Amino acid sequence: MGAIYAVVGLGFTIIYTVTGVINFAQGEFVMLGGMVSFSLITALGLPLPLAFVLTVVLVTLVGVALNLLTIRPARQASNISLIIITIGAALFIRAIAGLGWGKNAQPVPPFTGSETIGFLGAYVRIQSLWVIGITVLLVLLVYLLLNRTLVGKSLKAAAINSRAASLVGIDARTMSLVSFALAASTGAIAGMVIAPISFASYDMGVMLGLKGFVAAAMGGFTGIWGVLLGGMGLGLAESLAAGYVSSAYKDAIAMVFLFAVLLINSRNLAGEEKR
Amino acid sequence: MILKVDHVSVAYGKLRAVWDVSLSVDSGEIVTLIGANGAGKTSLLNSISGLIPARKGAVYLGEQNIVGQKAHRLAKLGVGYVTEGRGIFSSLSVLDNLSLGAYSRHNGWTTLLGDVSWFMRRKDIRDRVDYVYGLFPRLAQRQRQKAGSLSGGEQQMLAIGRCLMASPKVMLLDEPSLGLAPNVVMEIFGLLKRLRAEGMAILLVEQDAAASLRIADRGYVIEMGRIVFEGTASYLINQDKVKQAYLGQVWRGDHQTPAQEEAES
Repeated sequence: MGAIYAVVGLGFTIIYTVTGVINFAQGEFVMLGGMVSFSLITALGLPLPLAFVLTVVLVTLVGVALNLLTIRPARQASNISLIIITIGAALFIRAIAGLGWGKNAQPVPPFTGSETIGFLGAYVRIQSLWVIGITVLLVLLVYLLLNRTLVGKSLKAAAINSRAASLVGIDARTMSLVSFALAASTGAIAGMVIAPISFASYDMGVMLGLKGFVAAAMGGFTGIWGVLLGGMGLGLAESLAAGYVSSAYKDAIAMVFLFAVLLINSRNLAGEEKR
Repeated sequence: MILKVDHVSVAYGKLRAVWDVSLSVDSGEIVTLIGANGAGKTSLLNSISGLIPARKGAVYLGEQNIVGQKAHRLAKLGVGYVTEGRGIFSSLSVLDNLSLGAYSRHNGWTTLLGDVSWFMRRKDIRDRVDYVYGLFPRLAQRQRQKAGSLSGGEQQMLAIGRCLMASPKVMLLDEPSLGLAPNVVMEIFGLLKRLRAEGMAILLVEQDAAASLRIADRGYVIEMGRIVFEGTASYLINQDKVKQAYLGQVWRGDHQTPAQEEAES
C-alpha cells in the first residue's frame, strides 16, 4: 500500500511544485484509473495491456480537460481559490462516477492469477508484486522525465522561477497543463494496479487521495525521493498498526500523520510563499 | 530601428508608472535609460518584454508591433531580457540554464520529450553554447555546477549568457552592475561593447549613470515615468541638470561611482 500512496503523492508533488496548487482531484484520477480499467476489462472484455494503455490515455485527457476548463480560466485567482476549485472538481468527478458506475464496489481481476506466493515466511499476493514493480518503474520513468528531458527541465525551471522561465520562452500555462497530464497519468496507473486488491468504487479516490496527500506532505512536497519515503513510511506505519494494535485503526494512522504534518508544516502548504 | 517604443504608458491599477514614453534602439548601439529608483525604468522594460501589459502605445520589433504579446512569445520573436536580480534557475546546472536559454528554439513535442543532451547536440545550439563559453570562459569551467553556487558576478554572466542562447535581436538589461565588484562590472561592460560591435541592439538600464553613459551611444533620462532628456551620451554627460541629478559624483569632483563605493564598503 505504501507504494500506492507514494505514487498518488507523486501526482500531488508534481502539480504543486510547478503551479503552487494542491490538486485535491488527484484521488479522483486514481478512482478513474480503477473504474475505467474495470469497464474496459470486465464490460468490454479488452485484453489487459490494451485496457492499461487506453485507461492511461483517457484519464490523462480528463486531467488535461480539468486543467483547461477549471484552472486556466481562473489563472488570475489566488492559489487558495484554485485549491478550492480542485476540491469542487473532485466532488463533481466523484458524483458523475457515482451516477455512471453505480455506488457498488466492483471487483477487478488481478493482472496475473489471484493466488499468493510465499516469500520469506510471509504470504504475498501476486498483485502486490505488480504494485511494487510498476511503482518502481513509474518512479524511475518520472525521474528520468524530470531530470533528463527538456520538458522536465522546463517544468523545473517554471517551478524555480516562473518569470525567468517565461523570459526564455517557457509558457507557464503549457507547463501547468503538462503537470496535470503527468499527475493524471500516474494517478491512473496507481488506480489500475490497486483496483484488483481494493476493488474499484466511485469513492475509492477519497481515502487514496488523502493518503497520497499525507505522503506528499510528509515528503515536504519537494521531490520524488521525499514523497517515496513519505508513502512507504505511511504504508509501513499502517501495516504495523493493523498488525499490532487493530486493523480498525489503520486509517486513523494516516489521520494522525496528517495532523502532525499540518501542525508542523501548515505555513508552507498554504501556497502563500509562491514566488 | 530594431526596437521602437512608441508613446507607451504603463500602469498598476490607477498608479501610472510610465507616461507616454517613446524611445528607440538600433542594432550596433547601446542605449541607456537612466533615472532614480522608482522612475519607471523597470516597469518600461517589463512592458517591452511582455511581463506586464502596456496600457497605451505600441512597441515595434523591426516592423512588427509586438505590444500585448506574452513574454514567452516575445522570447521566441527575439526580445532578450536580463532582469534585475538575474533570475537564474539556481538548482539547475550552469549547462542546463544555458540549454533552457535556447528553449525557444526547440520545435515541437519531439524535442521536448528528447534528452537534454540530445537537444544540446543540435549543431546550432552547441555552437551557441561554445560562443557563450567564449565570452565567459569561467562558465565553461563551472558548467556542471549548480547555478546557485556561482558568485554574483558569475551569476550575472550566466544570466546574460542564457539570454544570448536564444540569439535575441535586442537585449534589455536591468541593472547588470548591481552589487558587483568594479572589476566584474568592467568585464560585463566590456562584453556589452563587444556585443555592440557584433551588431546587437542593447537597451541598458542603470542607476550608475556615469558608468552607463561612458559606454552608451545614446541615452534617455526618465523622471517620474516621463522622458525628460534624451540625446547622445556625450551631450547628456555635459548637461548641467543631468550632472546635478545623476552624476553628482562628477560634480563634486569625486571620481568614484556609486557602484564602486558600494563594493568597497
